[in-house]
Formats: sequence, structure tokens, C-alpha cells
Amino acid sequence: MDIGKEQPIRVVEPIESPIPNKEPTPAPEPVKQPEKEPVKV
Amino acid sequence: MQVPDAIEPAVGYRVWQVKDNRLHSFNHAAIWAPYEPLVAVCTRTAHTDPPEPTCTCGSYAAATFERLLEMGYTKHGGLFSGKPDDILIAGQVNLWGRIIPGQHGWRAQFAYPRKLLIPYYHWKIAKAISAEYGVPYSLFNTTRSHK
Repeated sequence: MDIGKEQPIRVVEPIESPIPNKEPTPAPEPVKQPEKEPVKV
Repeated sequence: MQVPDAIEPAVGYRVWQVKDNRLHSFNHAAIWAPYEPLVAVCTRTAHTDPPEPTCTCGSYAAATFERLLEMGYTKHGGLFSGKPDDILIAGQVNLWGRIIPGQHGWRAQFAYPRKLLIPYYHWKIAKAISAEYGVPYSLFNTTRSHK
């Protein structure tokens, strides 16, 4: 790629990261324990 | 301590090839990793901090979308044409670190996609590749002028 006549080098330090934040992976839902059947007397 | 010349990234335009839901540089064998900056590497004289003014190293980007199209990507049978099975897309890139502005574009030390510009006929990959890199996308009609 030809970018033409070049100017002097510059330093760019972005205040905010130019990379997007990775969305947090949702926590897995807790496994439900099967309800125990009531003991028949 | 060096005072920076700017605190906002420069924005350029470039073309990528999409393979296995990853962006690849079109002219060089570089894979753009999701959520990581592409760090320029000097393959000619191994400069430690590309881009070096006396070299050609650095991550390249055109200054505008129109300029990108004028740089040869419309040759050989249409917009972004490569081999028949190639998936080529364009996009905006954030550029930062050491950057060298040129008349028509940039050479930069660090780069990351900012927005993907996907030809409408590749609409099927748009959502997946956009989600992979965490950046938005737009579909565009390659038969219309974008000036």
C-alpha cells in the first residue's frame, strides 16, 4: 500500500483502549437438585 | 517521559480476508487476533519499534474508504475480488502507538478493527465476524459509489 509522501513520526497514546472490552461470560446457572418426594407414611 | 502528540487513535481503512471466522491481512501473512492489538513487525531489517521512517515497516491503512478503493482493490473483475472462494471485506481500523501519517494513509505500530464494512453478498458472515472481534459492522452495496 502506497501512502504517499510521509510526515514525521507521531506518538498516539489513547486515553481509552481502542480495543473493545470483552463481554463477561455469563455465570452458569446453578444446577437444581431434584426435589425429594415426601416420604409416605 | 515523552508527551504524546494525540490521545485519540487515528482511524484508517483497510481490507481483510476472512478465513475460519478470523481476519487475515490481505497482502501479508498476518492473522488479527480478537481482542488483541495487531503489533507491527519489521520483516526487512528487524526494527524494534516499527514503523521506522527509513523503512517500509508498519501496519498500513488508507486515509479514507474512497482512497482504499483507489489503491487497487477494484482491479481484476470487481470490488474486493480475489480468488473465487476468497471472502474479502473492508473496515475501519484504530491506529496508535508510533504512527507515520502519509498523503494517502498511515503506517502504525498498533492496530485493531474499529468497524467492519462488509459487501452485502457476504451478509451471512457479518454477525459472526463482528461478534468475534467485538466491533460493529455495516453492509454496503459494492455497485454504488461510496464518495
